[in-house]
Amino acid sequence: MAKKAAKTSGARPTVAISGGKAANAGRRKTRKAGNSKGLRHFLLFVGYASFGALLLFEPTMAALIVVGLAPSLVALFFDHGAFRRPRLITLCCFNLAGFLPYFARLLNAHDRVGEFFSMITDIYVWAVIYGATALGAGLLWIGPFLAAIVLQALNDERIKEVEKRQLALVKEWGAEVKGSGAG
Amino acid sequence: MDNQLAATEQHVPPQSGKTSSVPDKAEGAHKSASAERAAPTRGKQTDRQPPPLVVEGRYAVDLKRPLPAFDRAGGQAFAAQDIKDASRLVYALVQRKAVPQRKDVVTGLRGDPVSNLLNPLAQGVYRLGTKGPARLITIIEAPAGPSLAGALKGHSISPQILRKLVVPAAVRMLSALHARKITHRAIFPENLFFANTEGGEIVFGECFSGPPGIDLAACYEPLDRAMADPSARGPAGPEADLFSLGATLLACYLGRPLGGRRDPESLMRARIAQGSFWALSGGEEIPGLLGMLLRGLLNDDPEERWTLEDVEAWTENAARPRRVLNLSWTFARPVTFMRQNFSDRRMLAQEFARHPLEAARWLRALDFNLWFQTYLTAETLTEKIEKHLNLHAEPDLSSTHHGDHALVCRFAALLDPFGPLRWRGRHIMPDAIGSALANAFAERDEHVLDDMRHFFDQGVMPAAVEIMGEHNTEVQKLAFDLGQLAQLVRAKGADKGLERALYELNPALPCLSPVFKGLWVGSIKELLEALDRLAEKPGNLLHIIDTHILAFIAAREHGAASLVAAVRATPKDQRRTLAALIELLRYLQDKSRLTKLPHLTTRLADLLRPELGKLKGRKRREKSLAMLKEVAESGSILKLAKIFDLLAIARADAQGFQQARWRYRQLEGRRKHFSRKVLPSDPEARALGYRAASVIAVIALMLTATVVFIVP
Repeated sequence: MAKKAAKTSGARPTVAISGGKAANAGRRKTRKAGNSKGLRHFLLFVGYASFGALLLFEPTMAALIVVGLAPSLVALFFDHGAFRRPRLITLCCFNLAGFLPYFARLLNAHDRVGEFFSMITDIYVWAVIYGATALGAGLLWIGPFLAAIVLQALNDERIKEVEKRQLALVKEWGAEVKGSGAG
Repeated sequence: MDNQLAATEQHVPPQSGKTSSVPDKAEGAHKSASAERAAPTRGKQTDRQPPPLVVEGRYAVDLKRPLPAFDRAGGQAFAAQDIKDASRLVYALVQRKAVPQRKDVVTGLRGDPVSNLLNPLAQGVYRLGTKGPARLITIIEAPAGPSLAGALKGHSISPQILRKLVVPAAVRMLSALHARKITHRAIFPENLFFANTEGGEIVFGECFSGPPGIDLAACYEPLDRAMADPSARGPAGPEADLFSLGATLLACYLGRPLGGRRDPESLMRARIAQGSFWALSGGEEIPGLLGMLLRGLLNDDPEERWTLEDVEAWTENAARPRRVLNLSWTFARPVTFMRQNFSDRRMLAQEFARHPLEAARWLRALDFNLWFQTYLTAETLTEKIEKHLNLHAEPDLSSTHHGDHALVCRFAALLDPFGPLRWRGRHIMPDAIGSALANAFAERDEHVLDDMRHFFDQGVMPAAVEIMGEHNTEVQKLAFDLGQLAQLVRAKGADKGLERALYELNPALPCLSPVFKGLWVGSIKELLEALDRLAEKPGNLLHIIDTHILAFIAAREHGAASLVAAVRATPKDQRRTLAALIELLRYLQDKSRLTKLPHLTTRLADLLRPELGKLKGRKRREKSLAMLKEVAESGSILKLAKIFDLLAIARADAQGFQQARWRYRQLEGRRKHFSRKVLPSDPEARALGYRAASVIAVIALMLTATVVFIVP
């Protein structure tokens, strides 16, 4: 608005400088966020274009991708909770791990259409692809439990260390160092 | 002391002839306040004789032979002998502690003796006996003959003898002294001696053992100083010596006490009314040249009084006769006060001083301007005088009547600007405040000291001096310094106050602290040595160092004044007080170049120990205490102060403690954090779990990709 007002008055547009360095940092952060958002949009566009090209020239492979990587796509678009990145990585990697053999088989087949229909009617294919994904999901579920047990054990060791250092302080400065209240 | 001519005086000539058997290695002869070390004896002395007292390794003093003829207000005289030259006659004067000596006179005469005067030869601080007190002892030349008063035994001296012997001796002696800006101020018949047993030359006695004029009876003092207290007459100028000479010559001529049978009070009145010459001579006519001399010397007007040149001319029969003038000290008409009429201002001032409360009432009832115009017609009432007089009509209802006394002091200064300051029964010349203070402290009465403190209030001495300065040029010269002195007394702080003024004005006075009873502490070095000896006995050092000691230090060592002030600046903070005391003693030890003060260092270490014990840091505390023991044994307060900067140590300890406390709190927070049960829903557990799962997933994908694409 300042620029507009400056333009109408004929004066050179001036940027209000306020907050100094903090304002500069804020602007840089906004610029960075803007840059990454742009990159994501670009990648999405590339992916969409690539998938579109694949759909035109190799429809069976595109179809297999849609069907086989459905869990990953769902997670990618609908999972917005905490720790999104590691969860996404886990699910996508396991999904891909189950999907890759069949993708390779389709890639090497002469009759891709026939092979495609053969695969989608084969229950084992579904079991492997979605079973791998389920394995990943299961790992995501059990992971925090195991981590809690490990952390509990580590904390016990840490408590001993902390208490040792506290004891050293008391030995050096007396019981008053425990103190109470501010100051 | 009554210096009237008396026939009862006994003169005991000083010892002469045989040398004593005092060995060269004089035992018990010490020069410092730590002179308590008994004479080194080789084995026990079976006869228990006190060791002989030898001053400067040369003059043996016999304390069993007093010499009353040489006793003065400043000290007591004893027989003495010059070991190296038996023919030289000397005596010893043991100085009284609370009477300040005229140090500048002693120094001047020791370096350059004056003829016809008993000069000091040696001086030092020594113990009187094995367990006696330490005192300053001065060895003085002694005359071979008796005192003039003793020799005359009530008979008069002829004018020829006075003219041929006494006057020339006086002229020689006074010319030399006055040329050095020194006044004698102790000229009276008992202080004149014959140089030898056959008569002959006249010598004048010592003049430095006490404040100027302290040994003189009022009749030997000029009128303006005669009304002052003996200890507060001031050094005055050469004209005062000449007056004393005149009075002495008159007494010698008359062969009887001056003033006849009159009491001092009526003699003073007669002097004021008739003039000193007539009053002191008792109306007796003194014809001839001697009469001319005496009239000239006893002139009450200092401007008209004969000078030494006039006296010299007189001895050569070339004297110029002068008029005897009476100053206009009279009121235009007599003033009635307490049913008495006063025509002389000085007498009225004296009467006011005698009845101050009645005088104050009388003054407040006056219409002062009218009174001034009516009775003091020769003067003009200036604004300055009116301002300083500050005469209020409202009475002073306080119990001390301080305001009334102050008013009387100011008014008396107006009436008698050349006389003494009159304050609560004391009569103090403006140039003798130092000796008056010394006298007040000698009385050891808190009321007296309180009165002296009030003497320096703005409305008392400073105002009176300003009033006097309007007429008295000598006092005018002193006004600024006296004003500064008054501010010094009124100021708060251990380095200021009445005690500080006492030691500033009396540079020769030893420290009068009761802590140094039996000791003579005349310098900073002696003070440190005395404190070191006192520190041997148990007692709190902080209580030993009292206001006298602190004031003495501040006066003798001006560079230490701020350190002295710091010692008493925070009385409730023991740590700061101790740190300030250590710093002060360090400074003094450094200045006096004393290498060791073992007991004082040990005592300071004892005071430091509990403070270091309060340190919270164990390592710092243990290290400090270990070092303290070592430093205490060194006997060096310099080292102690350098290593143990108590405030810095305490500050570092407090900072360390605060940091340790913060650190402990931080650790406690972390301990509590670690103590709680870790649930799978905790962010930490989830983060770790998911990260682990993602790592496994990536590995699985890589393995699968390897198997699928690379292995076949």
